[in-house]
Amino acid sequence: MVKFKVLHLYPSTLKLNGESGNVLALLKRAELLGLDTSTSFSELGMSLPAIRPDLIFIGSGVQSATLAVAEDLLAKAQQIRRWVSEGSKVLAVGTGFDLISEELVLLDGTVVKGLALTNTRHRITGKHLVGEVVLESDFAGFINSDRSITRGSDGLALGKVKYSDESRLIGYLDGYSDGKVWASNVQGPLLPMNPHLADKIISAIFPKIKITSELSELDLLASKARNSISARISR
Amino acid sequence: MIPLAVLVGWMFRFVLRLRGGGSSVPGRVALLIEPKFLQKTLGRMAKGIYFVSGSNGKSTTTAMLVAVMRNHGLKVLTNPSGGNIPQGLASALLADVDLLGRLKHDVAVLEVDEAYGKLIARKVAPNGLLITNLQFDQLNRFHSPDEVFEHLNDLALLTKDFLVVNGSDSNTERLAFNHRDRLGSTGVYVSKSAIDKAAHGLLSAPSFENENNELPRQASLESTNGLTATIKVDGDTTTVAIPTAGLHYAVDAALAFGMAKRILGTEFNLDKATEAMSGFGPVYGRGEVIEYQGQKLRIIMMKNLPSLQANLDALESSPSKVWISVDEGTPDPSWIYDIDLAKLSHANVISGTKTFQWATRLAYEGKSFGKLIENEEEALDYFLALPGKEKTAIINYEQMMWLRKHLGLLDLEGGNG
Repeated sequence: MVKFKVLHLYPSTLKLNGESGNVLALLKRAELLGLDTSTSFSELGMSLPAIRPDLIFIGSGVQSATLAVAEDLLAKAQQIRRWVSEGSKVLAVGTGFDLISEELVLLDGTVVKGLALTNTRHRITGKHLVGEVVLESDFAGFINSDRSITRGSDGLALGKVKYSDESRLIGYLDGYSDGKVWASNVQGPLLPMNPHLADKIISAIFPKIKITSELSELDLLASKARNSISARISR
Repeated sequence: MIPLAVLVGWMFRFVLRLRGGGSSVPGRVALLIEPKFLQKTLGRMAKGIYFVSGSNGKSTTTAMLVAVMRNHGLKVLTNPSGGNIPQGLASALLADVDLLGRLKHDVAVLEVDEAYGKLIARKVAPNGLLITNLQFDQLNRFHSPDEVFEHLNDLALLTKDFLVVNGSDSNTERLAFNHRDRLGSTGVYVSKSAIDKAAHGLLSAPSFENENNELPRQASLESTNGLTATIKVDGDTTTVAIPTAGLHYAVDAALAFGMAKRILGTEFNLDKATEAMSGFGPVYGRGEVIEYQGQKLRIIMMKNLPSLQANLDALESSPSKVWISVDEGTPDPSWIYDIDLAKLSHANVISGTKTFQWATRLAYEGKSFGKLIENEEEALDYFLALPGKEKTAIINYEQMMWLRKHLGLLDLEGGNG
């Protein structure tokens, strides 16, 4: 049986908004699609696993946790970049997106270097935008972020906010997607709420896999959860 | 202006109480008429004003501290948890003041909101402050525990005499350590064995500081077993009753004992404190059992990740009949994916605006979620019609308040008895 190997980076340190739900969604869906799965993890001060993972996931944390991880990642950056060049995919949410970006500029101007897996530069504004969102790309969830993001010339955003109960979030350009790396500030968590993205990631790793009706109950519930949000904020 | 503020406040209070439930409107009106309403009422307290704040456990700890102080013969003024912001507190005070704004109490023990506490403290600075913990809570409002730390730090800066904190929470321990010179900070510590016994420990927010911030011990929780907690104060040990099983309730009791000792000094009597706990029931919606139409409905509050996890950890076994109901009072329940649901085998019905987010969560866990009925009233009818006399409701604060009102329980939270 083909094995889907997931590496969850810093699951205890970066654990702010149900990040583990994203890994759960990927594993559960892969299993329902007939794949064998395995999960490894790496925390602060720990080494990376010996075997190259198919997917690397990194979640969101408080600022002190994010900065501790940024320092720890210095020792792991080379290996992670090598894995990505060899075919590993990456999913990052929340401050995990900061950590895989080119850089994160703190309020005091300190520049924290990221893994540069995206063409984005992030700056903390100190002004949080908080609210439920529906994106043009049929994503829905919740954003709670105080990052301004500058993008490289080719854009590659994951989606644009169409509706929100926070008017300043309308038009907000979220995340990153280039077919190898996906990143977002949408919570819900992201993948349980938006399973079509989970399937896109699994399909990118296993191009021959067929998305079957085994997932229909999960998809129906998620679709109703998105519809509830949409009904609330698109009035 | 005090008599006018009181009179108009009373009128609003009378009318709004006829409708059932509490409201901050009377207090808001009183503060509009007399902006120094809090100073002119609370400021006269002969034996001081004490605040209780923190992420979780404020209501229970405040109620325990009040019970202990009252059993020492003191007339203690307190507030409901809904009255922990300035206008809510003013509303609560309207229940007890006379026309001239005078109170008959010796001492005030007030629960204050983490963020609004400093607004109250700027009007009436507390003599002492107790901080229960720093945990993940209301991220849509606070964004991060780091922000709450700063709010609590501001509150400590406004405190006049002393600071007592949960010393086993490394964030509150560090906060108190920074104020040790001016406030003689002390800690209430929890034994390692008591922490290890709970499946997920104290559930504190993470701290990446590795410095030694140990504080002088005010009290300690030695152990907890079912509905009892063994607490040590000044070398003397006592075993007290706690309202509901769970490490968090035992910690609340130890915090209340530590704070009472700090307030009362040599007048603190361990026997009187222990006696006060013997008749102490669950605090309004926190592990409370509501009897309705011959059924016992246990309320498990889904306030935030640490409180729900602590409440689930304290269950002896999975409840047989479960209703989950969550509305927009919890705008982003993403954190339910970080909850260990080992103690929850299933739900019988889910309701509220977050119905499908909870159902998706249970489906990914492979657990049955029963009926999905977004309308909470219909869901409750369905739930009550299920066979069985003992049922469990996992609901957020707003749904708890709705449920109480719907079942005709119009008593207000807290109060001065």
